Amino acid sequence: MRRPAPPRHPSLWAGTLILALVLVPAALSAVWTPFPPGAIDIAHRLLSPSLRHVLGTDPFGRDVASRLMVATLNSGLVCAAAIALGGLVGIPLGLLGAAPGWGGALVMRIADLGLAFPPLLTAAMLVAAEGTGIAAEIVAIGAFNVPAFMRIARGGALSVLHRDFIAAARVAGRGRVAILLEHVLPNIGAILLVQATLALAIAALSEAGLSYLGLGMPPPLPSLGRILADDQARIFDAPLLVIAPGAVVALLVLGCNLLGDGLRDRLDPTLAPVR
Amino acid sequence: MGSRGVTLQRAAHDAPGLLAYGAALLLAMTMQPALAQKTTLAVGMALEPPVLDPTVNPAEPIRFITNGNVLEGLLRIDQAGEVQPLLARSWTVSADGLRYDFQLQPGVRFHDGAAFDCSVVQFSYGRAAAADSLNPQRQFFVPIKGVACPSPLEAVVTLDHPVGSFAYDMAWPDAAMVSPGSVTGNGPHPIGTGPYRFDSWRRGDSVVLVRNDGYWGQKPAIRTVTFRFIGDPLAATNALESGGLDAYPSFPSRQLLARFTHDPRFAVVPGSSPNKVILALNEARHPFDDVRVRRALAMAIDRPAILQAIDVPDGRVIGSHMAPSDPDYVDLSARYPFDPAEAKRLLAAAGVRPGTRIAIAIPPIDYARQTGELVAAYLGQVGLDAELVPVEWPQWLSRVFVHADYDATVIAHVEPHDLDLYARPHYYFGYHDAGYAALYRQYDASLDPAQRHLLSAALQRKLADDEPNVFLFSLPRTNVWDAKLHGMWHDQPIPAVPIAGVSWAP
Repeated sequence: MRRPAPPRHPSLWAGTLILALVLVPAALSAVWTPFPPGAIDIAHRLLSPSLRHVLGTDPFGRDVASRLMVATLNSGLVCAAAIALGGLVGIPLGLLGAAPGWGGALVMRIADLGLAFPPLLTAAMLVAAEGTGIAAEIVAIGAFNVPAFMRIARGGALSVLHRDFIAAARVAGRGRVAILLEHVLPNIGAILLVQATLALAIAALSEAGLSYLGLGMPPPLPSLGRILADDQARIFDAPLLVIAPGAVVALLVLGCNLLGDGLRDRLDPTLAPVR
Repeated sequence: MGSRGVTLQRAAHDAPGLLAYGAALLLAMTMQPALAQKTTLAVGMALEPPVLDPTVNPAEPIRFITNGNVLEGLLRIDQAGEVQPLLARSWTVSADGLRYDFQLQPGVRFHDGAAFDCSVVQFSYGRAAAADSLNPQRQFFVPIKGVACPSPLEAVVTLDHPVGSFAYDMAWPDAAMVSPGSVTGNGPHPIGTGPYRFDSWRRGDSVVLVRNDGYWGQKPAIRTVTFRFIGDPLAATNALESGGLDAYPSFPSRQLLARFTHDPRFAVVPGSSPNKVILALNEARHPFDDVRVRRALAMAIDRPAILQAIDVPDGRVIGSHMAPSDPDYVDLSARYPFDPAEAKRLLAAAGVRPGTRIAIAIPPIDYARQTGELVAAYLGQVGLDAELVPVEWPQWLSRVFVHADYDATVIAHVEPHDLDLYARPHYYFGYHDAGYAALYRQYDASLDPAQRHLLSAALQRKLADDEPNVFLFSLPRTNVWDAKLHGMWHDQPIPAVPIAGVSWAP
């Protein structure tokens, strides 16, 4: 495929920069944090930001920056796993849905039903049914991504399937599955990548929402939503405790959205309306 | 309407009070005729009750709504924790403590019109003591040999053996008088003899009570009471500030109290309560069957630091199953001082390997969440792997409390004088000690106050020695209500929010 020369992509760069700002310290927390994130030190509780504790300490004397780093990593990993799950289930189903006949139609009507539920509601219902835990949370967030991936995959596949090279492959005797894997999938990879990035933003928000409601990963694992919930009553006496995790969630969402938009412009602007 | 002008002026000068100004204006416009004397009351509560019958379910919120408002017993407990007459005008006890003569209040009717007389006493106590009784305090009624009715207004209760606290026990909400004709419907729609009738229950939102105009006693000032279930502390704060709530006894957040202490519209009132926050341990499970392990856990946890971390400066570290507000309280808080090194040594001696997992069930309420997280961190410091398992209340009641399917849990025991819990054959602690049970029987049968006091102290010491649970701290309450409201209970000697004595200042 011939692509137009890439224009300048400010949102691509801005998104990458914002995400790096949040995700690099998060990744770093896998090997190093300024303080152990769970270490309580009640004699030094509710300290203001200083060189020692850059974001201060929380009511239990834990280092806020360390906890935020770990929480961002935890939330990020849950979201990434959930998106992977959504893609692994949704993309094959979407390709199936591109097949002519009532089977494909049925699959897509089920996807429509899934899309009818607000994402956070779907997740909360699933968690309420399965019980809380990291796996339950991944499944819950992954679940509402399945229909989204299905739609995108089907739309992309339909636009590719009537191209001449598909007909050529058919004439050459390639089977249906082989055509889907060898010719269709590579051609819709770009749009799927864009979808994954944008879905990451919704997933991050959902993860924060679920853990805020106490439906996310169990304590004492730090997560952005639960830090927000635990310390929200301090918004008047120690506002940074609430603003900091809120800002991280906001930056994650903003970063993912900018990156997704930028990627779409960069990879193939003609695909934009499909969304 | 002079006061209205003043209110508006004050609100207008209040820089962040634009909303309050709007609310006051709206209120002034819509409520003008009622402003003369407010007769409604909206009370906030953290939890919604599962049913509204305290004689079949132990949940505390049931008692807040019904105790003394809708349902009444022969006797009641006043704010000082003393037993007072209620449906029994007076009572006498025989010298051997086996016979109680209750003179009943005449002219009392249930809200459905059924008459209250001695047969109701027979029915209510018989039902509570029955083998299939669901009464949370069934053991109170088991010693009752019989209830005789020499006349409709006289009930003679005879006991198998003397019970020193019998009158006190009969003043509990669990001993409420219920009518045979309406008892089966008391879960969703309680019918009692109290100054308030049940009106409606919007699930997930509120219960409304209205004044019982046929009440046998003094007519209350408040006509309509709405108990609203708002567990989220921020939402509760907003509801109080916007006037959606008039009172919130036992305010659920310490951190948000500062909002009210500087606001002249509100009174922030400290009060005592018999709440004991404990780390309950399941002795039926290894390694909690080993007293060394239980003592080690007590030494591993820095309890004064927890009180500081969760902002409960008026709480006290406790060393046994009793709060300092109780007259029988013995200070045993120094029994197991914070000593992680000794805790580790004890754990090693008991053969508990580092990395042993303990699941701590955490009910969904602030004190438990915060305390649980700290407890887990402290246990981690002595090498245990404490996992926090958040549970909803129904789950907590069925899994932990009823089926004892748990390792440990953080919970506040809210009843006063509940040393009997450790003498029960089946209780979720799984604590069985013949010595304690014998001592408790002695205490239970004693009629002499001085001796009871000494025996209570001995019981408390025995518990501190055995440490069946890790006794953490007392949790006094802080109430928030409109400064013009009078007569609310500050203290909570028994779970109750009595409305009959409450009124608005003119």
